[in-house]
Amino acid sequence: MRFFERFNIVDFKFNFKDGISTDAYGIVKLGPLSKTPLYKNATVGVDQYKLLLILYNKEESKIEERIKQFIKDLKEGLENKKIFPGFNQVLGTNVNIEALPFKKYDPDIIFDTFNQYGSSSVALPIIILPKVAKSQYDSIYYRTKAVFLAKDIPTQIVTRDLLEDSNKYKWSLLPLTVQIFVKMGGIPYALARRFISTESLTNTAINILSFGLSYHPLQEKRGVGFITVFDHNGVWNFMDSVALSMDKIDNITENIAKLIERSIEMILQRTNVKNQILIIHYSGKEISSKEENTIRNAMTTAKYINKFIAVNVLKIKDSDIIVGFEDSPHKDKKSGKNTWYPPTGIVFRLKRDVYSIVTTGYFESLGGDLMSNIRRGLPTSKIIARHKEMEIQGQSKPFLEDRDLLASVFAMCRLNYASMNNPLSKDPVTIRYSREIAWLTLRLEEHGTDLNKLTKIKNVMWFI
Amino acid sequence: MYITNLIRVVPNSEDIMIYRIPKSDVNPPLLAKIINEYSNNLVASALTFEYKEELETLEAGTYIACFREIKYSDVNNIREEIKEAIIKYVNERKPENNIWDALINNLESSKIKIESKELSSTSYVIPRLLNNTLRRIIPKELLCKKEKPGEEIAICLNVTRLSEYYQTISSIRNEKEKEPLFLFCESYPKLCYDAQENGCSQFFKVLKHMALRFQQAIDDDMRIYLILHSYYSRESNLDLLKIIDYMNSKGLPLEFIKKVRVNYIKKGEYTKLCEIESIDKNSLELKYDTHIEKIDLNYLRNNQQSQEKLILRINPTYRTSREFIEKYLCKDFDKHKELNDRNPEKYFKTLKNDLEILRSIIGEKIYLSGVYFSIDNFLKLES
Repeated sequence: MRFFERFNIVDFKFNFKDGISTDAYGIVKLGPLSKTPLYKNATVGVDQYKLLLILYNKEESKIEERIKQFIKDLKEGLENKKIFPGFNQVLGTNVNIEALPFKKYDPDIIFDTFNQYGSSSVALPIIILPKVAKSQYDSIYYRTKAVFLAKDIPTQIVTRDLLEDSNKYKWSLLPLTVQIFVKMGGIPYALARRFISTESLTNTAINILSFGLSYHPLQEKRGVGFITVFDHNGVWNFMDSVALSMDKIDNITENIAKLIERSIEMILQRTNVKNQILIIHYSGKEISSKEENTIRNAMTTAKYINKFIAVNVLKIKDSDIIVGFEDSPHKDKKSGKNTWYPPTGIVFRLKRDVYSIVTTGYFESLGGDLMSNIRRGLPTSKIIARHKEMEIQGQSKPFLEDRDLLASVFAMCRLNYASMNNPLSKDPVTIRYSREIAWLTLRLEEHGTDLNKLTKIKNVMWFI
Repeated sequence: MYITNLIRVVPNSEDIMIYRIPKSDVNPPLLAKIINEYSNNLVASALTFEYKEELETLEAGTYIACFREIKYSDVNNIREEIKEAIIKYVNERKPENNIWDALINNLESSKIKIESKELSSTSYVIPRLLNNTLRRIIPKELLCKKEKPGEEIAICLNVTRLSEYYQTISSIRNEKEKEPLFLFCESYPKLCYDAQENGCSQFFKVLKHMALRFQQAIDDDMRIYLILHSYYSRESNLDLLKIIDYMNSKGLPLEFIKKVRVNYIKKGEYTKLCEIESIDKNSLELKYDTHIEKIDLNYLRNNQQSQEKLILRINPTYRTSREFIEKYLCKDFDKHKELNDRNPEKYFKTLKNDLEILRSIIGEKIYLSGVYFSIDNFLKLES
């Protein structure tokens, strides 16, 4: 094991409408990058929305008061405009913000309340729900989201607890605004430059396709395969999924191959760039070696895969390797003692094609300030294994070096629209939302929804 | 300088003699499993595909080594031991598949080839064989009842046993303050010691969890590391029958268990998650997504001795279950999580002592087919 590379947050800046910044909060000054998806054929966009409709349970005590304040804050911003200047002010939009009460925490009742108001295509629902553990498949959170998604409507859930916690609330308003913007089809910001350091691939587009496979949490025979696609600046492209019978290997292979084929066709349809490289990120959390072989077969045999000039495959998983840095400049705020937190983005090579990258630790800001994206506990790292046996290289010298492939993971950790306060997520966005995507897709399928007919949600990041 | 939880493992010889049964002769994972579970002196590791790396290539097959200091005169001793392991497996498991007689005959008649191979003692298969060796040499009572997903081997130590190690190992005798479990157990003794009268002791125990695995890494040469990761976990025994008895002994109405989520566990069936719809002293109703099942409590009790016993266990992942546990069984049942809030500086100070404890459990050196593997110290790296 030895030191390989260190990626710095400040080298992965963000591009906004009117400039570049290291900090996602740059959106306030510089404005969102785009109000429409950057890839063609996507029929969504922020400007089609006229209304944010807040739906809340009128039986909750003091809720009317809190909703009134919430609307005011979204419309006018907080007193400290640096923290949050208002929804339309940040995004340059012109949406109205209103509220409607529902009778009880029942997904159908909540949907009916929303539906009574008028056309769903111009309103985005913000639903106030009690806080529940994301590990509960049957929770009101997933059930409500699924009812709306089945009608091709993305939702923003806000917990009642957040409205009650004044400190958390004020810092959540901007990330919340950005999440809503994303669900409307906007691109708040992206990487200012491609994550690769290779200069020679100027006429080549690089796509990152994340692939996940999950079991139904309650029924072992059912599962789902899903993909999300981003470009080399971390710009969202689209998602797709397929239901799987987990007890039938042939069914898994066939359906995953179909899913990948569909995705490749979609990638190629949506761009005019001739040379395309595909980097596949997949998470090995739930995948057994038998299933991994199945994925391997599906990926290597999928039609059209040879339309790419190169295909690289990275398996990303949690690591049990703990790294401490004895000379760390980071200190515990209370005790003043050295924490030994390592720098984020440091990469160690374990063996050929296998690396460990630290994703939580300390980092230096552009101004040289020492900051951290961890407060307590142990730093986290990911193991990234390049699966060369699944790769396609169109020439003897690989187009992308290991450094570029590792940078694709670090770059995707930077893109964290749901928690902008954190400059680096411990998981890349390509694998971070696996559970949300899987569980909601399974729910939709359970209710007989034909996923292929849902055109809007395929084109927005509804799952963040 | 960077410090890691990787510990260098140094063999006293460059080469090691390993036996291999080719893949074509028998299914490697199954054979390796049988050897690991039923042989007296052997460990095995299956390679289902050819392994090709920059410094070595290994053919598919079952790789076998001896973890006890026995000298085999020739390969027939190995053959004999594998045969005995298969016979034990067949007698105990009574598998339906009829391949076993033929397999034993083929082993006897030497139709199944056993090759002896000299490999590098840091070869890819060695850490896998060492992992299986650990499973054989660590006393069963020290192994955790349940490993976390992805963990190879895990040792679980309660505070009493941990204290014994701190007393008997001279290098750590005066370092008890570096082990946070001791202080924790002073604050929450019910979560650490047996004291049958309270809910925490009956249903939970906080343990030190030491996960370990051997791993090969390649720099300029092949090396083997032991990865040791320690944390604190909570062992739970949330069998519903036990909880019903506890509620009755405390005069608490069984009604309180309503809405609690339980796992339905039965041999040969997938574990199902359901909710307690109703419960009284005679029976309970379990609510599934699609139906409700009534279970007689007497039947459930009598069934506990049966081969296909049904276990109903509270699943503490869910809110209603957690609320029930906090209210009626043990208010502090999640407190152990605070123990895991350590930064790397504190972590590595404790881990240094954990390594001493591990050495006293598995020895300073691990033996495998004539080679001694010494457990060195934590890997430090320059940036």
